[in-house]
Amino acid sequence: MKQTSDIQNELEAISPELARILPEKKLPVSPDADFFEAFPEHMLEKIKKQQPPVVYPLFKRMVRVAIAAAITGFVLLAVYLSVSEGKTDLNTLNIHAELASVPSEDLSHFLSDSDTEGLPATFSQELQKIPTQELETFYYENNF
Amino acid sequence: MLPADEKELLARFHAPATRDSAFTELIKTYQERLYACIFRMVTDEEASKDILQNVCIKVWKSLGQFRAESRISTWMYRIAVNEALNWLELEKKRALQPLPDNGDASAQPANLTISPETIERKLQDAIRLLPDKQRTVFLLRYYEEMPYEEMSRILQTSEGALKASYHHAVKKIQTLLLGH
Repeated sequence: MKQTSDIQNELEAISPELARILPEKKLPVSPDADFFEAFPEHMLEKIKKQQPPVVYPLFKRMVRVAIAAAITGFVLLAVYLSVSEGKTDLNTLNIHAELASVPSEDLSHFLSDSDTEGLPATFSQELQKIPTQELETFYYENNF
Repeated sequence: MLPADEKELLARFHAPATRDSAFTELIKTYQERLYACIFRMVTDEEASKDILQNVCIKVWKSLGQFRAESRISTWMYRIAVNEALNWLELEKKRALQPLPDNGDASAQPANLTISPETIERKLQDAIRLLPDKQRTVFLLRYYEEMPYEEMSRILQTSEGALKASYHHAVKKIQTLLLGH
């Protein structure tokens, strides 16, 4: 029996001939009778298999914090090492550059024996040749 | 906006202890209607089953974030229609969807002397020839008897545009079946 709903009335308004000949509505092809019976449980099993193992939120958060802390620590350590290493290199370079620019005849008046104690002999000899005023300026400028 | 039974079902889904039973009940309630809607769109039994499975998986994954702005059934229809449209789009790209050779649907106008089975077959052929949007609108309106308001939420289209699409779809089917 044909429907007499609003939908049928609407169809008749648009195309009376079509509304007259269309047969009763039905599902053209239905799955096996057992399909819908088993489908919900089948889907649930399938979804459960696909799901990753349960990880508690607190544990998840702790793992994230630990990873973030490790990364931050590593970055800070790397920055510290590179800066301290750079600073040493910079000072050494400055000393050598300054030493090279000082006339050798003026080195002998500045440093006492205690100043050069423990330094390599050749280096101490070179320092002895730096004039006092030049060396003082160099020391102040470099904040020794 | 959400009916009491859907609110209760949603609450059960949110509780881990009752989630499975709520999901099973939801699928049992809507599986046949969703399957019918999907099948009418894609007209392929195996594809319809696969699409229905995808719909169920999406429902499981997203129901927890469902904002209750529409009925659960409307939301599930939207997922099903979108999945079916995606499947049709992929099929078009693969060019693997030849129409069954049932002859030209408009070659012999149907009349009252033709059997209901023949008209049904010609109707299905004519529906297949409609553009995707018009076919979806026709199927949801004619077979699912869905109100335009609900269809508007599912297809994200104005009610006026949906009524126009339905009108065009009916006229095209009339031309294909009756030859005028």
